[in-house]
Amino acid sequence: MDYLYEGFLNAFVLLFNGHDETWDAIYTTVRVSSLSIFFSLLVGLPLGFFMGHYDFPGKRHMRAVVDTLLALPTVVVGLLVYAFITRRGPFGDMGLLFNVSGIVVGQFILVIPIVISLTATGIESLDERLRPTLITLGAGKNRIIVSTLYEARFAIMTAAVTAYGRAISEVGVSMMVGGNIKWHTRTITTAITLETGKGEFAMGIALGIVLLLLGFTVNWLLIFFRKRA
Amino acid sequence: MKKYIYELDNVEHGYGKFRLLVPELKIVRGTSLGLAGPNGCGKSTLMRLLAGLEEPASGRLLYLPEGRKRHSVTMLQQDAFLLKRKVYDNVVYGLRARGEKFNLKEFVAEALSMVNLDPEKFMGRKWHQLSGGEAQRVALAARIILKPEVLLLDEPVANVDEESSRIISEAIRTMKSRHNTTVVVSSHDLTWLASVTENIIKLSNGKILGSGNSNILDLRWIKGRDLLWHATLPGGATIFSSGPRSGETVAVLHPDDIILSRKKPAGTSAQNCLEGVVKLMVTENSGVIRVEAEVSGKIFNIHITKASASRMQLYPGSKAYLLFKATSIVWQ
Repeated sequence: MDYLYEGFLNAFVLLFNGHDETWDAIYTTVRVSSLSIFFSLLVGLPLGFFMGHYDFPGKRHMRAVVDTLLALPTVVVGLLVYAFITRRGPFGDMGLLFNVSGIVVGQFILVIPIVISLTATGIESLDERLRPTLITLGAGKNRIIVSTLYEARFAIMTAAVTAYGRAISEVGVSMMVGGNIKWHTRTITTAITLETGKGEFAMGIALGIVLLLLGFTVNWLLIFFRKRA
Repeated sequence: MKKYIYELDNVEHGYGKFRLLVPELKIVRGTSLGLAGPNGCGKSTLMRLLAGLEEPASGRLLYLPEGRKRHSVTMLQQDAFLLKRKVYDNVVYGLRARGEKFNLKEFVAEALSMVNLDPEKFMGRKWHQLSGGEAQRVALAARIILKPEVLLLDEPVANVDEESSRIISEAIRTMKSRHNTTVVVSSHDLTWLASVTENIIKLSNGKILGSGNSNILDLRWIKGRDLLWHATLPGGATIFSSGPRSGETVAVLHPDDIILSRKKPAGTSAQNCLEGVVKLMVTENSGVIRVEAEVSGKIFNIHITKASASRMQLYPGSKAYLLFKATSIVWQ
């Protein structure tokens, strides 16, 4: 058990002494996840709003597909993205493989169903009196959309936070598409995998602590927003 | 300017099996109209049509300032709904939707004062920090601030205390007198409705059953052996009516067609002689007294003159007999 005790001690040393390699993995994780969440919100929010607000033929089937994609395995996404961005793939010339942009694309695909589904659920669960209230107060089409999104703000934040939690904790996409390249595409999860394999528990534990803290923060925010919603 | 603000002609609208039928209805500009009737009779459907939230399935509904203007008709729905934001933002929402930017705080303060809420105290409160009555008054303030041409209020006092009810009544009168707003209000409470409106129309099963205090005898009518039909009131008393014609489903008894007597009359031609207790006496705008009498578990409205009430020494709590002919019950 000494190695565990020693691992914890060294982990704190690495974190508080500003060990470059450890902090680079943390920085990469936050950067990649934030970018993927930004783009997934940009695309997912309007789609989620559309799906929750309007009725259209095939809505139920589309919803079923999106809900199924919530449980998409990260390695499957990694495999698919890899197949498309590898040199032989249709997007091979874009140089996304073993690059931060490639991980962003993979995480975007991984989390966008979460953003769409939770946003749609949030919009659907709004009080049915909202729309007639806005109309009879004189709101036009654009104002109705903006006000509806604002009324669903806590549900939307829940969607964003849930998606962020999924992005920072995934390992399949980052490993397969990013390649776990030191100083470049190494994220917390891929670093933990590697260091544990090498028997270097200190860095693994240090990164694990950071991941847990991030996860705790995300969940705390989730509880907060759910309570407000 | 045209006399009528709304003209409805053969309007038909509904959901599933329910159908609202309005053969003809004209609403005079600047007046207040009450809609009375039981749950599911079509009051809210009519309100939604007048608000422009829905278009009638068939027929013609004209709003007469040349087409519907988004900012001139507003509606307060049953059970106040507030946006998830501060009272100030709720009240100012409609003004912002109109693109107004100046003196908003003053307008909000004025609207809140009209519903007897202290602006200083309430402007900064959040939607969840209000009681039911306060929320209803904030929702009303959000409509009042718009100074609309038409104010539609769907059951505004259904779930509020007496104080809120009084304040809402006062706000309605002020809107009418100060801004010449046409007000359409629906309510179960006929007494309250009569106090804030000039005319009342009654609805039942999606049909307009005349105006005023008509008694809608929404009972299980059974055809008797003779030509008469009979129905049992909740307390067990039986009433008789001449039969309906094909397609007529609702029995209505006009309050002018009921005779009140303190003693049980004998030898009259009236088929119906029912014992009741006077519950309420209200002087109507027209000067007649509307008597609410409970007969075998059902409330009947009866119109009498002041002189009759005085001669009979009729007061709430008095026992009285209600007389009316079977043919006085009209089927629609």
